[in-house]
Amino acid sequence: MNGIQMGRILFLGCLLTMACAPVATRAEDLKLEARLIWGTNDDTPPPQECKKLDDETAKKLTNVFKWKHYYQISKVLTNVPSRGTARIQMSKVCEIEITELQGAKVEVSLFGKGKKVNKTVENFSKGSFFTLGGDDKNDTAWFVLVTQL
Amino acid sequence: MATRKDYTKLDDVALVKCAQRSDMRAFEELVARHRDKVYARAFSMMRNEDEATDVSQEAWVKGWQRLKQFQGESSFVTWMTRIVINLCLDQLRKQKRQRAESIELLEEESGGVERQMPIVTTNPTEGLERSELRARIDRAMRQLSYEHRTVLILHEFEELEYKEIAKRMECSIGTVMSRLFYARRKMANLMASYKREEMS
Amino acid sequence: MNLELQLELQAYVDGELPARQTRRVEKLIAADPEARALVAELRATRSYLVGNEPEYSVPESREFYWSRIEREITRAEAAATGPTRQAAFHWRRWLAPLGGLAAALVLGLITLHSTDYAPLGSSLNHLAEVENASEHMGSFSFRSQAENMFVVWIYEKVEAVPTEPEPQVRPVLNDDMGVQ
Repeated sequence: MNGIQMGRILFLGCLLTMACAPVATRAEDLKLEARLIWGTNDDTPPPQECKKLDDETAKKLTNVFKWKHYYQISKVLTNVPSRGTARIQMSKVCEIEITELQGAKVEVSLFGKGKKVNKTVENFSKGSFFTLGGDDKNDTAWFVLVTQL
Repeated sequence: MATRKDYTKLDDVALVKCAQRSDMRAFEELVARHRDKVYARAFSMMRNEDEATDVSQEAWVKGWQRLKQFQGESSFVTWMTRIVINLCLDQLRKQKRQRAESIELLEEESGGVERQMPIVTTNPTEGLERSELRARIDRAMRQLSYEHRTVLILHEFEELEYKEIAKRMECSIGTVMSRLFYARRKMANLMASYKREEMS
Repeated sequence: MNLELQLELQAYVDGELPARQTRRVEKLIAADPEARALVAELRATRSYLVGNEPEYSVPESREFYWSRIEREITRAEAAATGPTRQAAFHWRRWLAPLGGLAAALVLGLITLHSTDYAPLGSSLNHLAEVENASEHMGSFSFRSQAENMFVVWIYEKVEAVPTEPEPQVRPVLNDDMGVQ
């Protein structure tokens, strides 16, 4: 085999390799649901604007945390563009920013009163829950629950 | 690549040995195994979920810090229970400074016990399933003051002697005896009243 | 029957009496129906309490409960080591100019290393990278395998107040304070 033939084989080999290599095609947008939830052990009903969280999600939270009653304060549906970022206002003081990274990872940043508080990079897939939470007044708690639709 | 240890298969003695060598995963397994027991002791004394959670978690932290001192003179869970009891007693003492004297303590001190509580001669637990009995005991214990409940727990459930209880509660043996007596008489009468409620 | 005698009967039931006193009390019980009835009641109460203590469970998941303990252990150890902690803090500051991504990467590597020996369900059994962006807030994270949920818990940092012994107050000769 002479050098030219070897060169052709190598060139074709490279083409083949490139063809088989993962190509960055435009993936679908990430459809997410983010909910701001309040948890309490107080049995007295809260203000009317607090909607009781659905049973399935409430049970999930009860299995992880100590609070017995969960109320949905807000719910936002959003599309995160592929490899892009979406910022979601959960309340007057709470925002989250979600960036889709390579693979199945997302980066979630929490902002309180406009200041970044926390950033997490996590594997995220349909059916899994990403939860940010913290203690609130009178031994209650807040949660931001993010799920992929 | 090191093989992953299966801590769930190790007994407490082995886990404690690992944890004493700063193996936090071993300690986590101990926490998982015994957290309910330690929490239960805290809750029985504090009667508040949040306080019991806080105190029991504090006990686990102290347990980790003092682990090298544990020589196996008792079981690990007994040792942990003693830690949580001491923390509960500290907390109750702090709270006592803010709490008004309970009416029960006043009754006990005034010697009203023998006048108000007749001797129970029937068996108030007859025919009860274990779960029902436990529920009634729980209900009755809720009626006791902190001091009376504590002395009852330390004597009946922790099986401490009067002297040891007096030392932990920082009171005289005589006080332990009179509190225990009141607590037991009150329990007997409450259990009898629940039985009467059931029959009526 | 006075209270002193009743307490003696209780001590007898509890095995707390010395031998001589025990024999005296036994004679009393044999002779006095009221004493017998009280002893019976005390014994009955004791018998149904022992072994029937109400059971309570921790109202939180294993992961959440452990994560707070772990956090406190780590915090206490960091406070105890002092200079090492400061060195770690300076180390993080040095990394900051390289950008959050670098810090997150380091945290991620630490996390990955820590998971090598983590049993299933352990709070460290995750591959997430968590970075605190605020000096005043801390966080700890864990995964609930059962609920397919990853949790980042944010808390407000409280500066530990060093516990010092109460200062000895000298009496001041001051009429206004009324100290003699």
